[in-house]
Amino acid sequence: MTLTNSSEKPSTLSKRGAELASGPNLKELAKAILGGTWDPVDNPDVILNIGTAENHLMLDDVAAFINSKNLKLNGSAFDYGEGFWGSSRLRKGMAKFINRHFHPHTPITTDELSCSSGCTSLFNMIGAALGDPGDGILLTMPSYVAFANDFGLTAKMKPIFVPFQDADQFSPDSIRYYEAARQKAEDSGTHIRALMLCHPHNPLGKCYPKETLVALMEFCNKHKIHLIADEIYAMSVYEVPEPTAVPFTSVLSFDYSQYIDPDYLHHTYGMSKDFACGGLRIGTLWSWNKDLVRAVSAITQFSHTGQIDDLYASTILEDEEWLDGFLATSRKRLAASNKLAKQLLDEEGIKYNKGANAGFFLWIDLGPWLREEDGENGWEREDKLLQRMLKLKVFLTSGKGQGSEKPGFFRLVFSHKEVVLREGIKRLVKVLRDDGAN
Amino acid sequence: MLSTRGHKYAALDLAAGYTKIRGDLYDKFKHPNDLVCLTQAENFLMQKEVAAFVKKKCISSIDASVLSYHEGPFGSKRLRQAMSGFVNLHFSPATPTLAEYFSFVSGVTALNEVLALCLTEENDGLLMGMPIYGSFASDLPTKSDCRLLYAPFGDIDQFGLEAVERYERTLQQAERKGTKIKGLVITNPHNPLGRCYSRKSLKGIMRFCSKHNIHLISDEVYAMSVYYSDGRHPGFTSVLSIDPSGIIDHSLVHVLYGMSKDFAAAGLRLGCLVSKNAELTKAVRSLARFHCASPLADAIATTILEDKAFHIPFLQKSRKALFEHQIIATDALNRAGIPFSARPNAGFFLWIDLSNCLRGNGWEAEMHMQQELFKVGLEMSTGLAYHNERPGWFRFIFSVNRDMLKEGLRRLICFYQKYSIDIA
Repeated sequence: MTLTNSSEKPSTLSKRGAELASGPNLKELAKAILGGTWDPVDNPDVILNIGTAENHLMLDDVAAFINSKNLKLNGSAFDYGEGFWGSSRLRKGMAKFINRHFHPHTPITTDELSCSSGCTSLFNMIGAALGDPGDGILLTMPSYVAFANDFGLTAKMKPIFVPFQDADQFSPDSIRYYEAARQKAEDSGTHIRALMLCHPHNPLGKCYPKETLVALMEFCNKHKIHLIADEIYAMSVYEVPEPTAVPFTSVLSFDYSQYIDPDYLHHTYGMSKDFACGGLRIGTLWSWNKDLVRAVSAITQFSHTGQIDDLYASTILEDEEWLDGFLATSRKRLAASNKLAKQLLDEEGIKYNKGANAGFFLWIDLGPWLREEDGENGWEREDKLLQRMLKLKVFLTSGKGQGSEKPGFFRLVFSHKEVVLREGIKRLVKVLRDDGAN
Repeated sequence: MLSTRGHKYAALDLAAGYTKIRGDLYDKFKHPNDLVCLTQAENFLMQKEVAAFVKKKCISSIDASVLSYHEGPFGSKRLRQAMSGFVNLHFSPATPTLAEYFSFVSGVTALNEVLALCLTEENDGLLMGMPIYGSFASDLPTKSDCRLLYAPFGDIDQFGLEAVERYERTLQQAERKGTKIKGLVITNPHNPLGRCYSRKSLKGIMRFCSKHNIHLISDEVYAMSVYYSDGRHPGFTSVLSIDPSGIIDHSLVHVLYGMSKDFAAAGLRLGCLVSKNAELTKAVRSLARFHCASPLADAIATTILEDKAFHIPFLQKSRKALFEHQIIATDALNRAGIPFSARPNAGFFLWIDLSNCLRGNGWEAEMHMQQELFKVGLEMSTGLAYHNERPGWFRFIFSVNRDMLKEGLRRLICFYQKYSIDIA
């Protein structure tokens, strides 16, 4: 690989520095789609973003709560606090929360939890601790768009995507696909070290039934693969009319030690989704594996939560009555937005995966609207469709980046105020109906 | 057991708007999901300022006389003098007004009742255009038992000369049916359309009134709240600024003004009649006994009106704030494709057209829409209450704080997205 900077002079950086500099410019991309939330009054000219998964339905409620608390900050709020791993107050509050809501088989304790600045940071650190550069991590197809980057960018783990063809990846039978992907990787020299499980699933928005979790644990145990269970959408499981919708069962909620060596099961959680507090940067890691915890704590100093974020998060976690009401309201609003999104999609004949009952998104199939003239293959056409969306100032995350097996799939985020969701889908429909005159 | 009249008043339930259960009202931080109530046409943007002035200057300058019966129930001499000076300065009267033309009572609402009693017999008619301020329908007939006749304009501009022909038509129809018309009431600037009558059209209206020997009542309470004017958006012209000689007997021309709108001081309960009709003035001052403005309010208003260094910048600031808020509202409505009545440049409101969202026909459909709007946390005065010619129109108040305005717009736009049927 030729390592030169854009002006063709030899790079002034290290090899890895030059590699980072020449990589995709995340800042540019973010500028385009994160220019503030579209609002018909306050911010009508930005791109309407229904691609990024944030709980817009509950942001104002968090703000109102914090404002109502009139937190008077002492000087001590501005010092280094208890260190880099989350205050004991925060970890206590989070442990209590997890015990109350996840029903762990064995209650977790304050000291078993460590905190850092969001799950993104956690994955980066866990990747470094569990894998050597080039080691593989199994990811479902599709999966959360950033997993490959989170584990790959500096920890240099290799994403190994698991295709399921048309099989149900939530069924215990899906294990054979993991087996096949693992075998293929190992045969080609990539040692699989971890399996990243997003549960509830992003972007498919469904929960794994217990038997599948057990099957995955047994698979991981068999091959000495670390099972990382990211349950960040656990409290965002809402009501849908489908009776077959699977409720949420945490990996912690049964005696997993029967199926997997406890040193190989790791639980991550955070406040970015259920709590609509993505800005606070709160991610938690729970694991029996003392070595993993020590390894991560050794580098947490480079990505720890701020003191005041810690304080706000603790305040939120401690008001259990308010918090339970908040989560119930969130689920209610998610159910309503989900229903509205489906109704608007139905009106246009846009298909989405049935039975989704968790998270903030619908996995929609825009395959029928890919145009032949847009490219030689489905992926090129999908990209062109995304470009048309951006031109009409609406953004959804495209399937390619999320490891979709087939082109044409997009993730539509419905956790928006009604006025935003309606306008977003209206623009999407306009893109699809547009006869190519632009 | 009440008298017949008592039963009638109870049945009218005119306090219903105030006794209605609304729950908490919207507040961005404390009650973000509660009702955005946009029914009261008050200038909420300027209340803090006037309250601060009242506290600092007005209250500190009062003396014991405000707690006496004072100079009579129709406004102290000093207040009437101060208002006369204000009108002379700002309304460009054809001839300067004098204090004796001014009679105060406790609000223009009370004045409406008093005027109807003084100008009409039972079942006599008062004429007005469509749409118009809805509360005339309770203010004018309740005690007087007069009738209100509403003139439809169809597609013609009611601020143009052709409008007079419609008043003529409605008057003729009424008189054929045996109702004697005693007066024409206009709101100038117009509520709810938010526009001003031009000199020409006022003259036409005056001629019409003269022809039929009827009173012209020009309610000019928003006179100082014209926040924009240019060639296509005429500014304020008071009927007082037109020399009545050769057009109409000056004893038929009356202006209503007060402290509730321009001065953001509705709580003062002060409204005045400006009239050269000595007999009417005497009649109104007789009834003022029962609608006496508080001498305390009298003293406060006097201080405000005398203090040019306060009220001139205050009124300028008010117009600027109204303009900014109107822009926020009209920008959002335009982007969302929600139509509203053309060229508004005065007052606190926009007359918006939500007829695309009607399900079914007629006023029932509008009432249903009103309920649906309430459900999504938005309340506005309806076309029905304001005697609009067609259902589906609402009065959107923008003189509320910015957060409330924006939230109200969001809820309205969302409602419109949901219910509007595109007539492509």
